[in-house]
Amino acid sequence: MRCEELHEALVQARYGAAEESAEQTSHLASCGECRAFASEQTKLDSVLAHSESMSAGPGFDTRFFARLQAEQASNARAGRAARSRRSWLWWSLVPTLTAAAAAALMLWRKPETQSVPQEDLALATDLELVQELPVVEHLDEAEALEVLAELDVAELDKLAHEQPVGDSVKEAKP
Amino acid sequence: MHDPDAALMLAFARGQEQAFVTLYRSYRDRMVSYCARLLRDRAQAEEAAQDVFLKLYRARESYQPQSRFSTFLYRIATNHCWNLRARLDNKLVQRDGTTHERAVSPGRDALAALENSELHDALAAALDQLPDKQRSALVLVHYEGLSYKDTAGVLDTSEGAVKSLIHRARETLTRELATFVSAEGEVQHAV
Repeated sequence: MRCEELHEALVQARYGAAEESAEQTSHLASCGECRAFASEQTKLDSVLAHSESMSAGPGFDTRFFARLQAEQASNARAGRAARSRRSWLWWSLVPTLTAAAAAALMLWRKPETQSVPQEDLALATDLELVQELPVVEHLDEAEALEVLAELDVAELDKLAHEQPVGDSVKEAKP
Repeated sequence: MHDPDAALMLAFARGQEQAFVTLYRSYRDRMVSYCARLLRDRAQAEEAAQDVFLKLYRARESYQPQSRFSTFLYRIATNHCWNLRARLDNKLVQRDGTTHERAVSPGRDALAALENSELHDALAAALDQLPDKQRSALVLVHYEGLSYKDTAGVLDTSEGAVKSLIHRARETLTRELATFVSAEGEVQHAV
């Protein structure tokens, strides 16, 4: 065993991190340098013992719990302020959100109105009016007049004497 | 691994404030003492210990019992004290860029004020000169009684690294306190 190894082992043994072995005992018995080191370490422990443990002084607890209480109060204030900020933020966003919702609604509805151009709307209105015209109500009869145009005059005369025009037209319709 | 303190912390996380008070009472003096050994100033140490408990209070929701509760708490304290020391060291760097040793005034230095002895001053100064990790490892193992494994957990390093940190710290202290640590005789009180 080398002297350096023994020195390390002797220090560790003081703190219960190693046990003294027979090899170490044998080395110590034969090495003056290591015996001197071991003796120095024992005396160093005596010197280190002069550093006494300290305990908390008077008023320590009072000061600590005052600091703790102050911190808790500060945290509570900070929490309230944060909640208040969140609440203010929410209410400040209400008009914006409302406007955004309205805009979204308008955009959603706009394509329906845009899909029917004004001209088409006018045309559709006109068509409705046209459908209400008396002539259009009897459009099938007007169409029948075209059939009449294709008939011979003789036949027309014959028809005129046999039955009313409307009835014959209706029968003549395909 | 049954850790009653971890169970208390979990109870606190569930809303049992009394569990926090129990932990506070159990660790209060240990935290003050630990912070004092890392910072050397009693007023700073007490404020730092309070900071540690405030950090613990805030950590209730994120706490995960992956290691012993004491390891968790000492880690908070260690990191906090290192940050405080770094800030203090920055203040001590003068405009010309030279670093001045931390002043040890008997009125401010808790350990010196308690004993007012040369040995005390020398020990406090020697501990103060150790690098942060070496000092923390030594204080955790030697004074706080933590195992190498738990100390490795606090310092976020390996057990092997802790062994090395302790060994180097003791070597430095033996050298720095040679006046008091002599192989020839008993502890020398140079008063």
